[in-house]
Amino acid sequence: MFDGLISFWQSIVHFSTPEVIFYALLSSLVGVVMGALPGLTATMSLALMTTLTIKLPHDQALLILVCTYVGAIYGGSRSAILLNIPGTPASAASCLDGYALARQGLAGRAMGIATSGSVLGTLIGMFFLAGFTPVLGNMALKFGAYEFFWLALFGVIIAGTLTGDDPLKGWIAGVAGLFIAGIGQEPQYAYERFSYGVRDLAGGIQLVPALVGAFGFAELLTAMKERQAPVKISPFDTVIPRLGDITKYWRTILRSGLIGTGVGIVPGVGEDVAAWSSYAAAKRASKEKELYGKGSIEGLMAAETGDNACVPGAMIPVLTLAIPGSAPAAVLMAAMIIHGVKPGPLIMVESPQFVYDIVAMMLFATIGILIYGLVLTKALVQVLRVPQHFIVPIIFVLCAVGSFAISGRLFDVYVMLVFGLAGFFLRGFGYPMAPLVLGVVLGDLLEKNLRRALLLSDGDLTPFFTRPISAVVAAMIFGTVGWKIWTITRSKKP
Amino acid sequence: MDEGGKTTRSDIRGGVGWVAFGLVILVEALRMDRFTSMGATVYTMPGFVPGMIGVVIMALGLILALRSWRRLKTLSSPAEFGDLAQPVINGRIGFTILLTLVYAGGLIGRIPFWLATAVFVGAFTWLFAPPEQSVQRRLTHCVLAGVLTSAVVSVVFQEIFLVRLP
Repeated sequence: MFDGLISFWQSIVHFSTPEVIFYALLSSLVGVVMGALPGLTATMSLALMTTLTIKLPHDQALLILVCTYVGAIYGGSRSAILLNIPGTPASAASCLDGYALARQGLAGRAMGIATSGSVLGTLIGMFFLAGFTPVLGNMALKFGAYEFFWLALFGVIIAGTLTGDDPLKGWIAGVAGLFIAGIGQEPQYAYERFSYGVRDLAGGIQLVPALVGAFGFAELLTAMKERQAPVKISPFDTVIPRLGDITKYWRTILRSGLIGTGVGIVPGVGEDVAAWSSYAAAKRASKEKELYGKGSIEGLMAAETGDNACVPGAMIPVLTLAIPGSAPAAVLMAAMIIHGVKPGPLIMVESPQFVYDIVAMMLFATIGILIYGLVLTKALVQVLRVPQHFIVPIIFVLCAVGSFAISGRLFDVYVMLVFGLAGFFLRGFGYPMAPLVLGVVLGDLLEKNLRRALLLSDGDLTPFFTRPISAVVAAMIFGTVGWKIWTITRSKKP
Repeated sequence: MDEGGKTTRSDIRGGVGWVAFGLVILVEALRMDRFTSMGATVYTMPGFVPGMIGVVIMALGLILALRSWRRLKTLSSPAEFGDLAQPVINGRIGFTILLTLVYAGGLIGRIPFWLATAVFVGAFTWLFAPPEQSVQRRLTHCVLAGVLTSAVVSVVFQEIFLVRLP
């Protein structure tokens, strides 16, 4: 306990230099702005910022990414409340009551609630990130190839089940991601798979250009589908959070923080599910159910607390298992690997301080969003007025340059284009992108551990189902898939 | 689940496409070197995991196609199962794809980055500006957007982030 506090304090001291504080505040601002702009998501922001920070020292680069992540999830609430358009999918639940409050002339109060909910949600999540990660990290040391195979598969299956409207399409996207991860030299014999003599493909598909394409370029195309109507921002008064709102709904805040963190820990689910789950739980327990959807302060508080608590929660499996809890966390994990940090079970053995560094980064990000939420809201919302035809080409230039910046290869720019177009069309036909990304990220882990496990057992499948943790995860996977396939094949609903 | 019959037909086509894709992966996996001379077992062969992935994609594609086919049968009138879905692509998307492909797939790497970026941003701003805007105002916006974006991106990437530009 005290060792953890001392390590946390050391991390805060380490980051408390003017340069780092400047980076933290600037990247939180970038996150808030990108999150607030409809069409630019947290995943896209992180993918772009990963490419921008490629030359920075790893601790500064990761600080920038963590602050961007927290800022973007928070920033989505601005457009949800003022325009009834979620800036990020995580803020969709906030539209219901946030915009209703704005229409009642309470936009400022709604933004204050979003700020207090987001700050408290992140703090609750941070508490569990600091407390759970060492425990889970030590548990993960006992995991073998069997467990890691099932966990990787679990991430893809759960992301496919929960992140789209159709689990079947989610699974297809996830398995397609696993296939993409297998392109290039395989680990055992350095045999080139599916590269067809293309030299650049022999090293495999680089994750960041693929993510920039799937989340950046594809989202820009989606945003361009319709001409943006002139933006009408609801007028608002003070955005200072009211202490009364916090004390009155402390149970909702605590519950939503716990749900958000818990959803974050589940591999592959993400902030939008956290927000909706928190909202639904708050509504079930509420004494004022009739206000939900019509401007409920409690509902908005629950959604905002839940989605921001999910951010630290999603970092727990990243750090302990190298399995991301959400799509943005997958990008963050890729950035960690690019910067030479090895997330996974050995992190508490090799670099335990890093876990507390991440917690300290979250704290800086929380301070950033609090400052922007309190003093810069009026200025920040002006960015919503910038016309689409100015923003989109600039973001696309960043997508192209960022993809090139990773390795200095034009091939990566073409990868971004291909993934962007494929992502756009797949999305158009209802295939979610989060499972695809999880598949690409987890493909290597899944393949290595499957082959290792089968070698260890000499082809015997029994240990996959008899080891306790393996058995539990396998049961969850088969239960989820079996139940969903049963409902799919039974459903005749057109 | 998707709503109504909006995507039923495209899902049948999609399902068949996934089955074909999975089959291609499976065939390619079976054609891969097996390294048996180096003592490889079936589990360590390079094509083992891709082959399994191919089979899974085929199975999921088949379920998707069968489900959509069953749904199609339950719809009573042809109008119900016509492709009611919004088209994935429209004129705006088409021009956006064209401009981005020309920029990232054609101009970058062949002409100086600053020029390619200025031309792309300027052309994009011109093309998607509100039609009610006067030509003079539109021209001013497109030149300013192109020049400023090109200059700022070049300076920020090269001088601050120390990134080499294409």
